[in-house]
Amino acid sequence: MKTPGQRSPNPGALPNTPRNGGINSALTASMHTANMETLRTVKTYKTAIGEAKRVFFDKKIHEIASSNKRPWDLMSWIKKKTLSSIETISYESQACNTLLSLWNALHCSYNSVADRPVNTNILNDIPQSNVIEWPPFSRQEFKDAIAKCSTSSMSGPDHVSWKHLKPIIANDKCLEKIVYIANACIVHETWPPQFKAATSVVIPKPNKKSYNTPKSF
Amino acid sequence: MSANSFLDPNQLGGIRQRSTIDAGLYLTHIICPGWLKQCHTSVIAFNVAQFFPSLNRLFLTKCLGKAGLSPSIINFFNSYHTNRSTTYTWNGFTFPPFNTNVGVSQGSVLSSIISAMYMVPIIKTFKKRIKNLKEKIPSDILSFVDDSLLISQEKSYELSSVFLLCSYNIMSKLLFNAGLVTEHSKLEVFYFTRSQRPPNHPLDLTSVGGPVLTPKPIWRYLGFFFDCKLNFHHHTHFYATKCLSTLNAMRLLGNAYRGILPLQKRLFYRTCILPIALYGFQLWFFKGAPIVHNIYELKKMQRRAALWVTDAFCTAPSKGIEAITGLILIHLCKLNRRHHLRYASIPPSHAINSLLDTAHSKNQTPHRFATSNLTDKQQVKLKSPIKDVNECLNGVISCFDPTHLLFSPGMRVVDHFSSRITFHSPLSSSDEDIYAHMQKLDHAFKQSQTLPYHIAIIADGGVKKSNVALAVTHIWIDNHVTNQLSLQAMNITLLETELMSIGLGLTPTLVNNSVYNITVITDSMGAAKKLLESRPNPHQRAILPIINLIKSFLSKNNRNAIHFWQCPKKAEWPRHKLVDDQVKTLNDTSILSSKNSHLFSQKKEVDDILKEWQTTFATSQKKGQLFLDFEDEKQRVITPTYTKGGS
Repeated sequence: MKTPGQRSPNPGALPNTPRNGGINSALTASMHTANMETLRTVKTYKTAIGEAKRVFFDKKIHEIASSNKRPWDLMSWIKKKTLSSIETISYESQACNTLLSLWNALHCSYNSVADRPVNTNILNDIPQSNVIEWPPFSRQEFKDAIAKCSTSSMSGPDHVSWKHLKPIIANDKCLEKIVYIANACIVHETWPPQFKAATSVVIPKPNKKSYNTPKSF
Repeated sequence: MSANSFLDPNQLGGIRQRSTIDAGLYLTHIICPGWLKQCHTSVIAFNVAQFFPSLNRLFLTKCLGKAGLSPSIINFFNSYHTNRSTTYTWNGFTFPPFNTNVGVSQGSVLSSIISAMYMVPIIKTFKKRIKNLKEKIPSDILSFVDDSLLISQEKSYELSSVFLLCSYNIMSKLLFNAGLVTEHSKLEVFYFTRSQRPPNHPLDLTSVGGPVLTPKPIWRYLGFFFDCKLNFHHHTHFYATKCLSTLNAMRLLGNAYRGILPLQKRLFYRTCILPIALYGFQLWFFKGAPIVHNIYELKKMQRRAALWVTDAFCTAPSKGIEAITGLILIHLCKLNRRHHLRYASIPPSHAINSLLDTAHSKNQTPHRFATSNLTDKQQVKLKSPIKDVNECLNGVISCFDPTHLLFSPGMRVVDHFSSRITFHSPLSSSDEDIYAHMQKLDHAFKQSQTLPYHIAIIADGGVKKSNVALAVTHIWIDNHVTNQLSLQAMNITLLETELMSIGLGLTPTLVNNSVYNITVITDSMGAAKKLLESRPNPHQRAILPIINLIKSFLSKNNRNAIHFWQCPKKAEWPRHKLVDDQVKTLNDTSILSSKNSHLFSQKKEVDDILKEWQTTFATSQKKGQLFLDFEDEKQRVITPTYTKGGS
């Protein structure tokens, strides 16, 4: 049995017997030099890898601790949620084998309550509150609102994220135009269809026993 | 919405300043006085299934109308909700957009407030109905987005079971009318009692279509682990263990090439681990609460963290390594006091107001178990977090006015006159930049003194060791000081003093009709910017008269303008130095003040806790044996601190 401290013998080396001693010694010498060369190559290779890793990690650590100041990026909260590929999702006791059936299952289960009846009579008892004034949006409001938005958040279908919008609004003319659009939405009582497209990324709900229904996501 | 009191106080979540901690604190407080009155607290927790997609458009439109929104805004919201499309993404696969015409879109910024407004009529009608019943049911409701609680506090379990059953029946019918359905599988019942035997009364909800509920020993609500006696042992154990396992996993970071620096480890602990460990501590940390076990769990966790940060031996003394790492001993006292001070800033329609004393309740009807509704004897006996909040607020001057019209978006001074109020400060603190800035300042000052209708104000403030604050202002016209004003105050911070000095100069100048252009020179640009800060801040009451004057001054004429100039102290600008010298030489007469300003109280908490840490560390008996003193370059003993990366 091999103890952890022992080194394993070189499997390629021939046994050194007195009969073929000369050849063997020459062979061993040549192999030794070959081994040495390999060792040297391995060493250089390892050093190169080590250095590359060091540079990479140092850069990463510096980025997290100093440049973007987001140490919580190290935590599992912001990691990409992976979906299990083993369980089949079934909707209304039918397995979703094709992508089309999966999209339908997801869409139907998230919008299953479309036509639920309501009784608005209960609202009659509620006293009418005072009318709220709605002054137009100002530039400062827009600036304040956008300052709080994270630059690392995901963009919508138009691929424009806060990261791109922040330098744009630094220009006063652009800012004025954008605020004008926001106020026009209120004045014309409409929300442009361009803003209505959304992307739903399906992620699993934590701590579920089974992930075989669309409701677990 | 908070201003016209449409939102219900018992509704939390989705609205600014209504957090899970508030919900937990509300529940914890009403249990404690209930025990004093020999009442057990029984709770049913229910959850609305698929809350966001279930919100009905028709119902929502009527809700918005009741909330006081004008028809054009309601039409805008209708347009906002209709004809939406969603693209689903699954493991990198995407599918062309589907039309979604239900509920409010998840992830939208407006969803949280809209969902909160949807629940308002339901809760209000519920309260009205249980009030109008022949047999009055003293049930309470607490809702956090879609996680709601029905609370009954009675002497007998049977009675509270009946009350809970009735209120649940009313509630589920109301929810059904609003197009919402409760999830029966997630219904839970729990009893809070001080008796030795934990109660095990099943609650039969079969008559209203629900299951038979039996209480569990531990009940989880909004991330808090409640137990019958409110000792929160399981809660702290859970979060301390969670942090310990994270810490153990973080040792892997040490194995990556060369590892990370101790300073970075400390930063990681303070930002990622400490907030988890201290989640919900406000519920169990108050005067008279049994906290030994809970603190022990947290201390254990912090010790492990300090060992990881310093890579010290596991036998190293805790106090020593914590001092080296700059991790203050679990400083719940400070955090708790800070949290109490937060309640000075809450809007009048907040749930916690109904539990406070009448002086702080902001005209809200007190709850049955509010501190103001208890007898003197009961008040002395009471141990609850809200009692501590009351005591803390008694010593602080009320300074918030979050619902005032001048601070509401669209009505503020910055919204209308931002182009006529300018701020000039040096680009950086380097000597070249300061020199360039001072040249400009000189020019601006000369202009203000030569041009007609221009005026300059030079303001400065200082706080003496006796906590007396002095504010001095010089008003300059035609290269002469025409007015010298000074004011004293007690127990305020330097920032507030600077703000006071600016206000002191601005008040007489703004009402002067022969002035068009005002140049304010101060050494604290932070204070000047506070005048126009849009967020709720602890200066609101103090700056309100000045803001009113600024608004009327700027709206009088289009050429009226105010320019703020920073004059760094190290530049030693002669005119500013005059003011500064006056601050230093003025005699301070201490004034009796029973109350502190909000910021001063915050600062005092930090100073007190640091002082306490340094004294306990200096007098520690183990220090000489297991841990030696460190000295700095000037051979002074380094005292522990947690600011700027620790000692």
